[in-house]
Amino acid sequence: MRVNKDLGMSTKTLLFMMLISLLMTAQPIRSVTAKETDCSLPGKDARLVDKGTSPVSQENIFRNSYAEAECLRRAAAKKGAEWLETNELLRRSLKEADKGNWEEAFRLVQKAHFQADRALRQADYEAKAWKHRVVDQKGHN
Amino acid sequence: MIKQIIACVIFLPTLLANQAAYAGPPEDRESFVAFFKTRFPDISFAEYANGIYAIDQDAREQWQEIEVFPPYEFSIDQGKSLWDEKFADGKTYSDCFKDSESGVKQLFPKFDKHKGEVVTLAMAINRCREKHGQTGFEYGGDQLLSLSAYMAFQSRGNTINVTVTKDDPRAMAAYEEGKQFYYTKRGQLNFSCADCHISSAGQYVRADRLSAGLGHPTHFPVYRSKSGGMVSLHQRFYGCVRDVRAKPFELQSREFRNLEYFLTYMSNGLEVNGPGARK
Repeated sequence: MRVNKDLGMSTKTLLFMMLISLLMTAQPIRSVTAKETDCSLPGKDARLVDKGTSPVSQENIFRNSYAEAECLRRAAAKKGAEWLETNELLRRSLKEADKGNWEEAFRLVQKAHFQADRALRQADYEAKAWKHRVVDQKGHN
Repeated sequence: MIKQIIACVIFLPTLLANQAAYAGPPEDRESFVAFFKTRFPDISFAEYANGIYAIDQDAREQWQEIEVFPPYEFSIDQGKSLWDEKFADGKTYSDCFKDSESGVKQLFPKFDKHKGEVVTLAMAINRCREKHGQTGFEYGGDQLLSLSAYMAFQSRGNTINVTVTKDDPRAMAAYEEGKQFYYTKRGQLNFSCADCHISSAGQYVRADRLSAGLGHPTHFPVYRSKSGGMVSLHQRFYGCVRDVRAKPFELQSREFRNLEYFLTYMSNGLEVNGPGARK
């Protein structure tokens, strides 16, 4: 009975401690979006383009998609987390766009966008997660 | 009493969870060495200076055959010629590196308090050249690699003794940045240095076995059979980062220098045995 009473009295303290505990150990995986990194630009996403879109519109949509992907790539590079071929994908997409090969240009820019976004997510997660891999005093990894 | 026990149960794991991440350099090194002692109980500490050849017996036998006629000898000879050349002002490298006759490689990288950054041996060579009116060598170029090979050869047998001064927060920050780099997953393959050279040390990646992180900096620069020439530690870092499909940093970038600082500190106590020969 006495034990129960003790436990009852400590409920608030217990909850408070659990909350602090959670806050200290939490490893949130932040979702990195274009908006969050100030890379969001007006205009449609490249995926919305269909073959019926006029060349002028295609170019505008491509330029916006390219700018957004490039912005994300730069953000990842700033964190030292850029992936190997993102920049090359962007370069190739521009080349294809210059030739008017919109389908290929969009495919490449989407791939670059995906890579840059994932690189940023990885960097944000790793900013804390690396600590859990450090070899401890007992030689455990 | 029960409240105190509950508090302990909740808080203790929290406090202990990230303890290793906040440990100081000596504790880090102790843990690093202890890990490999547990992983490879039959391998002595001194053996880690031989890199993968401490672990892989077959590769060791091939390496010993290669060492009969070391492929890096030409680089040592070229390095000696460069070492003996006088600068325009009549000075030589030995004016920049005190006690250079007995070797200085074991002391690099070191933290430069004036510049507030980690200085590697390659950087120190170029600083010496610039101080005496010469242009710096290209990082990764033959001349710098040869001179580094000669200086490593002069230092053979010396014990690595890199210091991280706890009272200089900039040195500690550089060390911590190197440590973070080592344990951070990067690139499309999502690998960290530690994934291969701690967690998977001794295991196979296709036909090759992964070397232990302990002892990595002792034998550089190395003659790599794969590339048919001398390779610096930073070129190796570059290759590893590229292999996990992340964009590599420049040779002698702050990131790679700090990584070298951390990694070399982990190998304190091992003998310098460069230049080496690797697959």
